[in-house]
Amino acid sequence: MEKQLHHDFQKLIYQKRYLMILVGILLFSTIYTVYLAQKGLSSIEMLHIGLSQLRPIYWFICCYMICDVISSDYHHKTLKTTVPYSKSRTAYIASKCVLSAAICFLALLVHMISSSITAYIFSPHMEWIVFGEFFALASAGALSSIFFFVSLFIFCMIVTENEAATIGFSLGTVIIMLILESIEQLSKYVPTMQMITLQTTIHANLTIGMIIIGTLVLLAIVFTLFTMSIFRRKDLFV
Amino acid sequence: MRKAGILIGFEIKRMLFSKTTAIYTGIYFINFMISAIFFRIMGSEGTVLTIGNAQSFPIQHLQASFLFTGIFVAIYAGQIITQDRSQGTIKLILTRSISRLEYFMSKVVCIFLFTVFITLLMIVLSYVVGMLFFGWGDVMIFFSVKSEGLQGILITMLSGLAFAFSYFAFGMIAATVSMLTSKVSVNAAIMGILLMAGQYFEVLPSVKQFAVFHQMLFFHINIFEKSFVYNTVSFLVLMAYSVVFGMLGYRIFRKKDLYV
Repeated sequence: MEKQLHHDFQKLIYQKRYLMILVGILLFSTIYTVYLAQKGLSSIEMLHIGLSQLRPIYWFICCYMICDVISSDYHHKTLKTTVPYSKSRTAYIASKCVLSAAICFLALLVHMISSSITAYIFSPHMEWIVFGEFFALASAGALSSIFFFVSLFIFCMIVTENEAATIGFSLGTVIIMLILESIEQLSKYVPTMQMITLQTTIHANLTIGMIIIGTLVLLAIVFTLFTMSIFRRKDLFV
Repeated sequence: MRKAGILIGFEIKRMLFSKTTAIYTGIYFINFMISAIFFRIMGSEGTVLTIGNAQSFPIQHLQASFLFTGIFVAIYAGQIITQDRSQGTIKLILTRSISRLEYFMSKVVCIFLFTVFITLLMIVLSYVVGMLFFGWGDVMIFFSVKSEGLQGILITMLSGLAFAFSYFAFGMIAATVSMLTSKVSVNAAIMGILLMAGQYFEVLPSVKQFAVFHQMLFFHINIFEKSFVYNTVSFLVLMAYSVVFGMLGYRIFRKKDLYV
């Protein structure tokens, strides 16, 4: 798996578009935080609003990055040459999952770190405990959702073997979730909202928060294992 | 032109029976089910519906499918423009007696047919979901329009045609963008982000009529609500988008090095 991961990681480094996405997020976060600072908001409010505003576009970008990572071998017809170099087919899928989740999380980290630094510059009286809690819970919520989406999209890719179907499915799924977010009673359970709502949910009821995160991670594991079992039996020799 | 007709026929068959179409059908169906369930629970507060009956269900959902339909049209445009290039089959097609213009025009026709097809798919699906949840109902209500029976269906189809036309203009932009990319996912992501950002044109009343995003949201409503002159300008705006991006797309395609 390490070999496969190293290969996929190198591919990301050479493809400059990922760097462009991260730079784009960095610029947006910095400029938007400066704009919020002009309104006289506290640093934690700036972070909350910044994350809420970025969130829909962030999930669109995640869809693109996940689909790009998992579909590249199908697109370039290099699956037959890549898989034999991997230790096993399971290692191949695991590597794709880890890499696509890592790049999505990195994008979120770029946003949170850049907006935190900007917020700190404009409003230095930051409560570090509140900030730490916000950072940790937003990351936990985002990671569980990212794993859930990665497993779902890779499942679609392996089953359909069609790049257009996978990107259509992934963006469609995210838009359905964005619609579900508008219902107040449901919003705290929707995966796309976890990076925002997890903190409130845990404060209100720790058990519900843990159940939501646990369910998302469990579903991600089940989908990934199911995908691996399908992929192991797939005829890739045609 | 017969060769271009064969290409179009092939694309239509694929459009009807592809996995992508099945996925789109599923996504629309889930979306309409969610809307119907929420209307049952919360009434018109929780959904885009103002009245719960199958007659009004399709026409009231057209605007709400802005993101879905925009992205699906972008994916389709990207798919048909890039597939032959990425798979190398374009060389085979262009070695036959078909010009680049004919080939490009066949793709333009396919994009138009796809927008009509996906609109029809939405309308049929929403009639089905509407019937399942509410029954046919007595009257079709859509903003100031009140109708019933066959006339209501015809109004829905007319609105759907206007809707499809505005998405065709957007499809031409997506086709032009996909001339510059080699992957469907890149095109879909770019157009998806444009769709989200494009909604901010609504805060600029003086220019919004000239934005394709505004027309995608409102053209199918405005044909009933606004004056003839306003709608003529909107129609010309959409035509201008289609023609300008069509010509730009063809120019890029004509100059593309396909001999590698």
